[in-house]
Amino acid sequence: MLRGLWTAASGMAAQQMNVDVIANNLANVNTAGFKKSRSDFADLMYQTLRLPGATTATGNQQPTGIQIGMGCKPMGVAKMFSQGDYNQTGNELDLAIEGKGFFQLLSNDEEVYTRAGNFRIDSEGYVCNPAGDRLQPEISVPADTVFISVDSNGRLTAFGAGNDELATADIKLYTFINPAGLYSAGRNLLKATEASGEATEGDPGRDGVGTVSQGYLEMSNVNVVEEMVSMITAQRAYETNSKAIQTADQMLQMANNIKR
Amino acid sequence: MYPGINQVVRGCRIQEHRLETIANNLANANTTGFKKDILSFDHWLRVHQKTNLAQGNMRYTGNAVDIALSGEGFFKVSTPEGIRYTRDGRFYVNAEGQLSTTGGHPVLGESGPISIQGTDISVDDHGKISVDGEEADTVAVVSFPRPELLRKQGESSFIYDGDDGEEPRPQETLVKQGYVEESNVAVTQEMIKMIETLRHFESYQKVLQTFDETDAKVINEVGKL
Repeated sequence: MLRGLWTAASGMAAQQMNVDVIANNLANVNTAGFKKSRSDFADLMYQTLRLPGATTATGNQQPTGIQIGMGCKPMGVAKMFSQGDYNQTGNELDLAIEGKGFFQLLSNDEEVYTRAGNFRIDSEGYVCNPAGDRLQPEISVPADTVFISVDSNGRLTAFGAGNDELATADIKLYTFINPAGLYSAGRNLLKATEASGEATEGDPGRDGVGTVSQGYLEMSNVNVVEEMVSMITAQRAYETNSKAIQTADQMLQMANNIKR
Repeated sequence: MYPGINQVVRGCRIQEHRLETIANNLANANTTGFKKDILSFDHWLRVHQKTNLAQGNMRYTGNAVDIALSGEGFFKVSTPEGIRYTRDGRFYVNAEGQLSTTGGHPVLGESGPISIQGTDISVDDHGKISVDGEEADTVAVVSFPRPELLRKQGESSFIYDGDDGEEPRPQETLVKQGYVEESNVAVTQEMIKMIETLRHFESYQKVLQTFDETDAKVINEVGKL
């Protein structure tokens, strides 16, 4: 049968995945700390019918070969860690990272990383994310704390009623050599993988991990206009490939109609 | 029987090849760094294929390790099977800190794999990579004296079948950071070629039907006399 049918089908499958990724980006356009993904495509292998430079029966060299491509395949979906916009919330435990670092949390006894800095205090006084995963290294705030301040170097200070310092602690940030290789675990959490490399601990404001801003949230880095344009191109590419399938189908039909 | 009938069948097969090539171009209309293939035929119905290496559109992404080539030439990639060449510049820094392709193969600089230890990456128009203000390496860009000997390998990579000693760096080519080169497939052109292919195929089908009808007449009616 015509190879073109399967070639075009591979193009449709790839565009379908492209749309899935775009849809997820758009769904998370208002998710704090969300980083957009991008799907990368590459062409599939080629069937070589004739090598370039092959010698013909008459002893001449063929200037060109013939290679029939088999279509397109998804190579990977990578997270893009560009900086998201800041949203001022005034909330004392909303922390935004300006730079490349991540917060470390402990979720189900596993170290996970996040850019979403919407923290709160759990019943035992520990700083945690909305799901209750504690910020690492653990920071506990005394019960009689009136307000909390965090400076850009990550020093968290808890103040009591008379403006007296009750406790201080340092928030650490972590960086990866290849953040695009992190595993997305959902719920804004990322896990280290072999591709991302080990996390490197650093102090905010030093070690190139970035600084912390209190009272701000980092919004998602999804650009709606960009995603819309990608969606249009993906949809049209999908349509184009469906036309190639129709054409291949019509040709097969004609071949069948040679014998009436 | 008619000696011409074999020619017509070959014509049909060629149109099928052509559709396969068009379908592959269309399937890769959104593939970064893809170069379209063009099939042509001479008057002996022999097939000639050429990969059109024309520049694709440049799209701005702002991603520091998206690097596109403006002008001729290829990036060099080291794979377990040997050196491959690509125009797909969506690179990543892998866990060892090397600049690598989406397929995970290290991209070569003037002195082997490019090591990136740092966060602030900048690439100038001549391919010089600086990390945190310090010069790291220059990304290798090569061109070929006989580009027709390049063969596609899949995964956006090419293999060169000629002598690999001669790989001059193209002087006019600019290395653009933060851009990707889109596929150079023009969908309109491919669609028109697809319609053309379909109609040619239809014509061949009609010729075959005519042969068939003539045969039927000869066998059934001429014998009646």
